[in-house]
Amino acid sequence: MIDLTSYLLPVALLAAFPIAGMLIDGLDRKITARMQSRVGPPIVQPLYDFFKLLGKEDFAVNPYTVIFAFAHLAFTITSAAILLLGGDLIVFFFTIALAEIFYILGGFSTRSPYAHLGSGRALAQFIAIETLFLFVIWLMGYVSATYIIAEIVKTQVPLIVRLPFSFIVLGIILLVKMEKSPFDIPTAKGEIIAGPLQEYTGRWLALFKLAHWFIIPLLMAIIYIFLLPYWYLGVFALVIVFLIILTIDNIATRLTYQDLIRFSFRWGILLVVLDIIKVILWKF
Amino acid sequence: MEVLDQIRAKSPWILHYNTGACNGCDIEVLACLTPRFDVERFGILNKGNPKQADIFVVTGPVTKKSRKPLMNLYNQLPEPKVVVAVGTCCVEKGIYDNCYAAMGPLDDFIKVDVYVPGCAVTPEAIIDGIVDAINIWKERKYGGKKNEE
Repeated sequence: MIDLTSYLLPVALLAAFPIAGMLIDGLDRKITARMQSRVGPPIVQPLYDFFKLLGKEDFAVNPYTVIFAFAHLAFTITSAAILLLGGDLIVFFFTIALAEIFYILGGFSTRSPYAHLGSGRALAQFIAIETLFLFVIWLMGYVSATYIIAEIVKTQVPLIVRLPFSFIVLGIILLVKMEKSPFDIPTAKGEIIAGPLQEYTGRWLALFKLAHWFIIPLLMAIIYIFLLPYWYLGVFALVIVFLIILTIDNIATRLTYQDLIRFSFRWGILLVVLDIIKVILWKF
Repeated sequence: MEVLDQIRAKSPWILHYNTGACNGCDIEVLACLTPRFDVERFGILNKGNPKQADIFVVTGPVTKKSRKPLMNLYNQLPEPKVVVAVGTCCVEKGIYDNCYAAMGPLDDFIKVDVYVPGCAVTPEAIIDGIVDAINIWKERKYGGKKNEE
């Protein structure tokens, strides 16, 4: 007999994820507006956009785009479920990477040159960022001597003490995944219009919005895990990281995808290697 | 669905297209997004993508070269959609009257819902026009009918 009550909290949290993602999105727009001395939209504005998109005409250029949209959402929710049920960190990495692959394929399955350009850039971003993410996850597993998330969160020493540089790398990963300047490369606004999402209309675009609301809290949850025995420090760190990302977004201009790859394979890998050296030398 | 219609009106996304205007009206349209006027506080976003826009804001007289792209963009806008003609040139050719390249005002080619005259239009007038457009757009329903080519 499986104890169903132990699943109640993860399922409730899974339902809370998109709401958190929506509020983060709204806060993002509000704070950005305030930084530019504008009034800005209400915080629940992304929800208005979502419901509007559901009521619009939806023409799909081919059936594959719809399949990829559903696959993207499905694998994002799967990775959220894996994280919340305390599953394997490596499997979590692969499901979230697969979701990203479906996002890229969605762009490549159309004939729009903008979508192809955006998907090509998303692929470059994928190579640059998932490499760093895999290293961080490997280090998390290595210092905890386990890849099971339920075991990792039971740690007594916060992971940030053991892996300080990986924490910075996670911040960079979050910045890139939120598609903020200077690395808002795949959906560069005003340059290649909507990137891989070029051909999506109506509710198919809403699916991607929903998936995005899952991905951002997911990555924030990993940042939270780094501070874990002290949950208040975790929340504090999230707020600080979020504000730093918004500040960088507002003061930086967009770089090219070559710059992102150069940045990630030079400085990102350097930070990861510093952590590896630290782990080998201090052995804890 | 009364509630959904109310929500829908809070998120109009704009597609802005210049059919060959002098650029004066375009600067005024973009001025609406600046901190002084800040239309994003009503949820209005300037989307460059016709497939994700709701309100089609057109400036300038329709020229021979821009007629085909204009029809293309109009057909790509998903229903329900609203068209706003911004500037005197777009409403009735303006200073481009009798010009060899100007084929006519916008309503010779597509159905226009709101006319915003002025040379160049003030941002206040554009915001007024777009608020009117939102009210028209709110009434319009998408009944599952496919877009007419």
